[in-house]
Amino acid sequence: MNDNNFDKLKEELTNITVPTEKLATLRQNGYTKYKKRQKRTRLYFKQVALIAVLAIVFVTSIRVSPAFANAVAKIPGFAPLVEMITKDKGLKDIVDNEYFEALNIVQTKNNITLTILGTIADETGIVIFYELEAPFNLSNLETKEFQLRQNGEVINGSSTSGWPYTEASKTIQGKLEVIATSKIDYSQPDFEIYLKFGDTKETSFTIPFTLTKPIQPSKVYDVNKPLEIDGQTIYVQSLTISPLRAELKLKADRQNTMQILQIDQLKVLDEKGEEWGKIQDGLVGLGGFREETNSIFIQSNYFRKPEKLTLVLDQIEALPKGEDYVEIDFLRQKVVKVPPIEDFDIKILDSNSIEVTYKPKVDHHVQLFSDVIDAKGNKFYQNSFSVYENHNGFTENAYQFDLKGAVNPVQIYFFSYPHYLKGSTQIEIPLTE
Amino acid sequence: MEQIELAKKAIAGDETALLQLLKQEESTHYRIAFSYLKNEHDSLEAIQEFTFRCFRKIHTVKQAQFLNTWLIRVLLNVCNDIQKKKSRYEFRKDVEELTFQVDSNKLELSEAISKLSPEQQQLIYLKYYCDLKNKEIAKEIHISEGTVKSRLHTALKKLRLLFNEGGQS
Repeated sequence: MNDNNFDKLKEELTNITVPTEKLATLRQNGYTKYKKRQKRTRLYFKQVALIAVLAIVFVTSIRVSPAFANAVAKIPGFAPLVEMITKDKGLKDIVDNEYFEALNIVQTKNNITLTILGTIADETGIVIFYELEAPFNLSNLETKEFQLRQNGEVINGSSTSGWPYTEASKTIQGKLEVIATSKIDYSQPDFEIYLKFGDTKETSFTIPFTLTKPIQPSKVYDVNKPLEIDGQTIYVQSLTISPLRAELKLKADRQNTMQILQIDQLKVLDEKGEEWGKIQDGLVGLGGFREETNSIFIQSNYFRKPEKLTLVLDQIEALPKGEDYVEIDFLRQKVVKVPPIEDFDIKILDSNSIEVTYKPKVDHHVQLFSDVIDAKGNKFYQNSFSVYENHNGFTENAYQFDLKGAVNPVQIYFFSYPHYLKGSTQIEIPLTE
Repeated sequence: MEQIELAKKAIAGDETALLQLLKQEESTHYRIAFSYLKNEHDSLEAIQEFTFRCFRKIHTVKQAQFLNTWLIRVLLNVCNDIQKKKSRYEFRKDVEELTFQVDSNKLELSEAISKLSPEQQQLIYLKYYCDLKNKEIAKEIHISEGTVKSRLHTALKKLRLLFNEGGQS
């Protein structure tokens, strides 16, 4: 092997004719594929012991009146609320009752200006609205870390951060949300936001803020009643109503032959027949039927003060026990087991992520998987979930799991799948505290 | 200098800049893909997938001066994947595999190179096709000049072995 050989190599390479026109077409194809894939929303999140239930909804139409949307957009710092309100009735009440606090705290670092616009806070969690500005495009900037601290300690809970996909832009409005594992204590309402971004300088911000407006306490109603459906039993434990959300706690009977997953249609009605549905976008629940905790979030009617509520459960997802997981060997890049369900395809992407294609009969937005049990029985969690555009009725999802130290093969349990129990069921909830 | 400005823009998310950069480097990229995959069809497929992956991952590039090396690395990974997919496919079609072997006589050295690890291939292409000096390679891929030397040495040794094997059979 000498330099002559390499001169020959160079000559060989230079002699290869370059099909310039075809290359231009294929480069364009590659770029188009990227743009299509980019039209997706992605949620990055951190699991803290509890499984966070996430849903991603593409909003195509704004269902609030333009006048109302305009009015909200004028409240300084709450423009991102408009989009949220289109998906959550409880937030409209929050705005009507002026249950929010404007902050407008500005900090600039490495040419990035972060403005904390304002918050909505209650005992269950805090939503923070913010704006980013920079002399460069921010639409692809990744939020690497987000923490909300109180008295120097991170508030335990699930958090989400980021913004929906936008075209290239130098200003971004986003939202940070923490849903606390236990009641947030507001006797000392001093907090600190820590945010780190994925720019080349890994710019981070630490912003302290204090809330001055009073926090409305949650109202707790104990129910403890069983519900029967399609031979399976579900216990309704309690309903807690707070300004940001109502939290319904459910439990499945151990004797059930089916593993209950999600409840796709769930609503509460007040005595006048007015309905509140599940929270549809972002963090829509905590835990699951396999876990100790199973909380489903419903849009709040806190400010309406209803006299009684009827709870309706419909489209209850379930898979036969033992057929409710996929088994994957990431080491050998092999799918070991897939339950016998139609139109379901799974692809291993790399050492900790998979891509799934399936065909739901109705719109299905919740993540399919959450926790992973490795060959040694240890539990691991999913840490990213994205939805790609639908085509021919198929939905394409990608999941990434935090598998540090896991022993292969691993079992990835279904958290949701559009396969339903027959029928629906309902129960009355008397609202005596 | 203009090149580095373009690279900076591309990394910051300017899609037109990245497209322009890929256009500028298309001959180098296509030729590397061709030397690896040995036919126009697969090489074009590689370029399409390569473009897709570049856009998807460009934000992970930390410094503009390393963009070109990074691109070659991404390209080689794509070629590697296509090759793997192809060998699985061709296993069932032995007739095609025969023609494939005949064609490859022309490019025996690049054939041997394609058997090196992607890191080693990158080193060889940077040194002997992109004509970079050891010092420049060191700067590009963040290792010391000594390491470049020793890695090149290992790669060449392996290449020599592969090359001679190919020559004898």
